[in-house]
Amino acid sequence: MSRGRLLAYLPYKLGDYLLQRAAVAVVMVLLVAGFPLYGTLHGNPDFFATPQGPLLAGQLFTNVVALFLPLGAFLGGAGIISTDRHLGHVRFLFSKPVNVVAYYVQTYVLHGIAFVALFGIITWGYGAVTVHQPVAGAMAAAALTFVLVGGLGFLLGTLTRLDGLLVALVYIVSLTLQQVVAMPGPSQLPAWAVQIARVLPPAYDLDRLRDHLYTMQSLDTAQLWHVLGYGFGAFFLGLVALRKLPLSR
Amino acid sequence: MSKTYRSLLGQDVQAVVDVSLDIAPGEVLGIAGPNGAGKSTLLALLLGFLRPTRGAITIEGLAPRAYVERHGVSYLPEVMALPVHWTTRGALTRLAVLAGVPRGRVRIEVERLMDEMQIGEHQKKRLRALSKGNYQRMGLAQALLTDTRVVIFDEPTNGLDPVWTQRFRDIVEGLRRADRAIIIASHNLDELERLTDRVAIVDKGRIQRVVGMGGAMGMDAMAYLVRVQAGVEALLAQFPGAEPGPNGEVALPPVDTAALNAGLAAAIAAGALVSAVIPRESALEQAFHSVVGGAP
Repeated sequence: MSRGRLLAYLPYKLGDYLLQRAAVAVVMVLLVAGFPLYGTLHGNPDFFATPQGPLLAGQLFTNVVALFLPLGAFLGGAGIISTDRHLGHVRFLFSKPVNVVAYYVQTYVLHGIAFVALFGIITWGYGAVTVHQPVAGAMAAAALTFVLVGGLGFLLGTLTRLDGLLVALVYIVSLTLQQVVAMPGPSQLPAWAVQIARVLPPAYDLDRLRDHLYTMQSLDTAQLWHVLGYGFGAFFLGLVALRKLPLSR
Repeated sequence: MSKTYRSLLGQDVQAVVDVSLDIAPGEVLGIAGPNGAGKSTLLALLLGFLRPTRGAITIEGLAPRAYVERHGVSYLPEVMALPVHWTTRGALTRLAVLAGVPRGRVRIEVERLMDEMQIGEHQKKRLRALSKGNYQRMGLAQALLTDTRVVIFDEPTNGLDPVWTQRFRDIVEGLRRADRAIIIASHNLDELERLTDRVAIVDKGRIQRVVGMGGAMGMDAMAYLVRVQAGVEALLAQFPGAEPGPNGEVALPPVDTAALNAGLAAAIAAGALVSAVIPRESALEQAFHSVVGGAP
């Protein structure tokens, strides 16, 4: 019964996602990529057919990926549960005969699929205007980013109202620390900071995997499992927290 | 059953303390209490939004969350908190889908409730643009989307005008059914007195007293205002402590029903011409004030 109701409710959730979450990320991408593209093509409509075209297209795409993927995954994964709790929507939604866990699992999965599909469309569109980009690789990179960032957002959203801020903070701190740790030569960080970098979400591994994915290079399996394990682990911990903790606190 | 909140500093706040209450099918139960008494916490526990720290709650043998997820509850929260960019019709349609209204009937049910609550003319308005009264009626409409056996209204007449307050009473009367329990939490004692079978008076997290609204009313000593056309002195002689007022009114001190009747009979026999006997406070108001003190 609950499954039927949730399936019927799916189009509303998709609409909410596209209008309130995806739209923000798409506007950011248009601002970052749209202006340079317009400037380039306005001056020379055949620029991307020249020998420099693929290089600039690749660089610009890297910028788009670096911005859109973490931002899009963040917007898709954070604030799902905490917003409903904070604003009191749970009182209306869950006085109806709806399974709370199923409701939020559906939302998370829907946001993930929509995010990956959206990024596939953006990559395809970008390739059509500039130089072909690997759509499948870009979508795989988006999926991996959503698993880690979205999973983290899901877990923190079950525990605190400050999940948006915390996800951004944890991601940035993780990436920064892990980049420093990965630098060649003697470590720049004290031993305790290196240990912290190891237990934080593998943002740097994700970064490297993404680079490999959209340039269609082979992946480091250990890094891949680390990212998937961390992301899905956070998601499942979030499910446990959702089931065990009360809806209002 | 008890609910204690623990602050980040480790301080305990007891929101609900040792509450024990049975609500029978077919009953309309009122919950009255001052602000912060624990009424909303009690309702949140009943709906499974919170879990008791000690003790248990069951609805038809199930834990509240399990019951709500299986059957649903008609619930109007005290604070209307839906996404404000939703339209009236959109909100009702979404909630009807979640409530399990069959796909082919969603539109019909939404139309029916918008007509019943007279919010059809606002159907395209965003919720943020609704007046408080219309928003409350929309809230009432969403609570009535499906036929449930548990109905919970938290401050249901908040923002309603007198006409709609009266209509709300009719709605509750229409909802009364042998297999349905209705719970109404309200500050409005008059409303509870008219609508409910029993009222639990909650203060400081405890149910301080449960007052029956039927035969039990009038058993306690109550203060009355008696209006006489003649024979004020005869009335004063029968009720020590009574105070004469303007226009033939006499304020009686608290007396029980038997003493009231005996005193009135004696006064009438002595020449008093009584035109009205009015309780200065209802039984519920009196019970409420004796428990909580001051005005509700």
